[in-house]
Amino acid sequence: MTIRHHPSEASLIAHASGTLGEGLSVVVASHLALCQRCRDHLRAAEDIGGALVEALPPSALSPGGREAMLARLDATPREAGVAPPLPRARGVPRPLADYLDVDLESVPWRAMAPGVRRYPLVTARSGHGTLRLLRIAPGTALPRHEHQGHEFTLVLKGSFSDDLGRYRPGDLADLDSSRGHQPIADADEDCVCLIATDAPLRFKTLLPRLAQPFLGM
Amino acid sequence: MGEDPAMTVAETLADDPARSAKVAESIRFAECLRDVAERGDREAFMTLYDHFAPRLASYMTRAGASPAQAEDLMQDAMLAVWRKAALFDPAKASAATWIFTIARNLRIDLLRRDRRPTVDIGALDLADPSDGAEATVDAARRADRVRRAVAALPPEQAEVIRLSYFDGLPHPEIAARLNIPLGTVKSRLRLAFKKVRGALADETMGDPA
Ligand SMILES: [Zn+2]
Repeated sequence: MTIRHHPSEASLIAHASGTLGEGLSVVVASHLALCQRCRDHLRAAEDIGGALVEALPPSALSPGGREAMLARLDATPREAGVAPPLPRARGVPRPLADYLDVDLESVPWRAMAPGVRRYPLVTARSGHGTLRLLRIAPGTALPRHEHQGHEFTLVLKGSFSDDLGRYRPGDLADLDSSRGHQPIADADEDCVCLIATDAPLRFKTLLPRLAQPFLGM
Repeated sequence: MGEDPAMTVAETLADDPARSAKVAESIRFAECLRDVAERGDREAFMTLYDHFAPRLASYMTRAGASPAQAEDLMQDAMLAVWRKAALFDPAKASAATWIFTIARNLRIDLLRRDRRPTVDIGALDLADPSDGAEATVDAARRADRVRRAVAALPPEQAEVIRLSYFDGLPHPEIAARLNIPLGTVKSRLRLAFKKVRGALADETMGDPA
C-alpha cells in the first residue's frame, strides 16, 4: 500500500495535543495504524508534549500528597506487559475495529442517496460531529460542499477523486474550512470510506434536493 | 545506532554540562520506569512522582481544572504510570513523552468528556532489537534535541504550540483567541513542527560538535 495523502502536520499536532474530537481522532488513528511515516511524525509531536510538560513550572501540591500517593500504590496492582496490537483487525485498521461490531463485508448499509449508502458509528458524545462509513457506487459524485470545521476521510476500499487528487486505500483527505471539494468515486469498484466531521457541511449545489440526503453530515 | 551508550553519554557530558545533566536525568527516569515495571520499586516510582507530579498538576490546571481537580487528575495519571509501567518501551519514547501521553489521555477523558481510540498506535512499531540501555540513551538524546528545539521556537510559534498542547484549544479556537486566520495558525504549527523534525533529522546524521 503506497500512501500518498496524509493528515497535515497541524492535524497531527492536534491529535498529539488531544484537541481533535473523538470521530476525527478515530480517522487519524486508523490512518496511523497503516502509515509508518505518520507514526514517526506523531512520535515527534508527542515528544513536543513531553518537552513542554518538562518545562512547566511545578505546582505546589497539598501536604500529604506523597503519602496519599503511596497509599494508593498499595491498593493498585501493576499490569503485565502485553504484545503490541496488530495494525488491523477484522480487515480494518485496529482503531476502527474497536468502533465496528461487524466485518466490513457484512456491514448493514442504509441507503442515503442514489449510489450512496452509509453506516453511522457510535461515539461517546453525539452532537459533536459525526463518524460514519460511506459506501459509494462506482462513478457516483457527492454534492460539492464546503466545510465549517474539519472533515477527515480515510479510504478503506476502492478509490475516489476530487479537486486535490486521487485517494486510494490508506490515503487520508484532510479538509478544513479553507477548502471545498466534490468527491467522485472512481469507476472501477465501490469506494468504502471512513469519514468524520466536527461541524455540519455546507453544500454548494443549486439543486437543494441533491444536498438534502447529506444535510446530516 | 551502534554506538557504545557509555561513550555517547561521555561525549554529551563533554559537550555542555547543563545539557548532559538533562540527558542523564532523562535516562534515570527511564530506568525508574523499568524498575517499577520489573519489581514494583516504590522508591523509583517516588523519584518519578517528585519530578513529574508537580508538573502534571500544572498541565491539568492549564487545561482548566481547579487546583483540587488538577491534583486528582495528576494522581490518576501517576497511578496509571505505576499500573502500566510494563508497557513503557524505551525504544519508542522518553519517560517524559510517555508520561505526557498518559496525562493527555486522562485529560481528554475527564475534562472534555470525550473518548479517543484506545489502541496504542506507537506500539504498532516493532521495537529495534537493540538492547534497552542503548535505546534509553537514544531516547534521552532525542528528548534533549526536542527540548532545545522547542525552547528555541520564535514567540509566535511557541504561542500556538502552547495553546494547542496546554490550553487544549482546537485550531479554530486558537485562531479566534489570537484573532488571526485559521491558515496562519496551521502554518505556524507546521513551521514549529518542521523545526523539531529538523533537529531530530540532524540526530540521525550524527551529533554535531
Ligand atoms: Zn500518513
